[in-house]
Amino acid sequence: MLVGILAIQGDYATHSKALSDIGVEVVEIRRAEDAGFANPSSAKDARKGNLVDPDIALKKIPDGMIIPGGESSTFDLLGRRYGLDKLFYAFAASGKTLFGTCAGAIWLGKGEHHKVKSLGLIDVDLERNAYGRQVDSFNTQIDIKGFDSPFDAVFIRAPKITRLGKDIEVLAEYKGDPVFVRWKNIWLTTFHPERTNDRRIHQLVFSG
Amino acid sequence: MDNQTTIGTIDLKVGLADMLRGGVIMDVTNADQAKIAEDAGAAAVMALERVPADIRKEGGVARMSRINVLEEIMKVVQIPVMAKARIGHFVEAQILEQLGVDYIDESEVLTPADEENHIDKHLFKVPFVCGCRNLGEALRRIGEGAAMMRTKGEAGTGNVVEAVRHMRQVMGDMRRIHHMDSSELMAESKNLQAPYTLVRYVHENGKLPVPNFAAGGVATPADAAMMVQLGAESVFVGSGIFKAGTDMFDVNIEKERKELYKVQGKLAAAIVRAVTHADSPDEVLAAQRDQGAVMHGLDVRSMPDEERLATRGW
Repeated sequence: MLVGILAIQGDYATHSKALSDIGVEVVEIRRAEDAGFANPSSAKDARKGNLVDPDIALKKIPDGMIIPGGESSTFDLLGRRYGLDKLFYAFAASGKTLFGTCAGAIWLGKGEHHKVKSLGLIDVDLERNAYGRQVDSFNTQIDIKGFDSPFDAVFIRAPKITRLGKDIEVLAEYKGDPVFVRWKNIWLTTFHPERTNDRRIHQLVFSG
Repeated sequence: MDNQTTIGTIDLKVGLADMLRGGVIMDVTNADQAKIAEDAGAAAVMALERVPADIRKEGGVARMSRINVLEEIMKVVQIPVMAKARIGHFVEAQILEQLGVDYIDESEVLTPADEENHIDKHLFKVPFVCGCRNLGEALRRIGEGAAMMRTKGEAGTGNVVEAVRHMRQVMGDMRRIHHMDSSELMAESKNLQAPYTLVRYVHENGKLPVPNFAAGGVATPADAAMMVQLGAESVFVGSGIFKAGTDMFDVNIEKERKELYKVQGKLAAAIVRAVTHADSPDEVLAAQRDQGAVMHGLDVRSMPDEERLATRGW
């Protein structure tokens, strides 16, 4: 399995190590062509799942993608310039796994944000920096559906999920707020599963 | 379930530094500049009263920023806000922590408050970044609790030569220690005046336990991309952006100020682009083409030692 990691900025290297630990091959994605993807002519094309023009594709297309933590305003600005918004539309439409953590969750989800136009690929609203500033960052033990022991969850300037759309599965909560959700092939955590040595979440998302 | 929640740990501090990897941190002195930085794609801003180029020119004692300036900047952006404290001035640091800044830079750009001791950074919940010229200095700061390093360069010069010297020194020191025989590590620790456990960490891992950015003299997209290719996890741009174009426009005339901001915003965005795509020459070329105005530089060779900011701290 090959998984792309959005590497514009943020915690991509730590996710990359987490995936290597579970035997998944990794490619860093900064432009659409890094994913063997010709920039589609329109977002409509992309939403239909038209991934590549075979004449242009030179590289292997990843089977899934991680959008890591970082700053969502930076992702949005640089991501759109390089056609990554369309790449993610195409990925979502073709049923490939998209996994957003923290800032990545903000970008994949919905909600009104300061200087971020979310992609709206999953029907949940998020609020950026909802727990406060860095001095309020924390880690805590949470229970995750299907796991037989708690998971050490690291929240860094984390967002909160403030609204759940229809058919969103909640896999974990912290103090009544959903912190790990899934809808079809799209997974979000508001915390950073890459920051401990526990690989169960990466396992679950990428090998089912 | 009973949640055991912890805050202010070294993992959380290094965690935020890792979130900033590959992102550009820009010096800003007011809310307008902070907005320009955020719009250009900055991953964080460093709030300070005067950029290093002005501190250098105007002299006097350079201290922590005024609180109202910091508050205003924290209000207008959602990216992390860093602020500088004087070397050893732990009360400035306590004030900044209380205010809620996201990172403190214990910085040689300000006038040192203590010529012997740096701040005990373990005592704080807020993370610290510190400057270094070589590996020994980096490991001493990490030993004191710094969660992020930056090579010092020579701030406020627009001249990248010292940044290159310091980054090469740190990277070279790490390569050397990584390949040492393990029985040589204690002697090396004595030689570097650095904690043994951290020398051992570098030997085993070939890198620092915290991210290392470049700073001090980065003025163009090409400078920024060069620092990344030399091994910097990313860059701080101090005077480079908001001293660019200042001789072309009069900031006291509103129309000209707007033009100036446009020019500076373009340069800021070009530097962000060059850092993200540092390994793609076509992107760095495009960024360099977009740079517009850049600041005039200072020749560092003719600068007497007492004017060098990098020699502050040890």
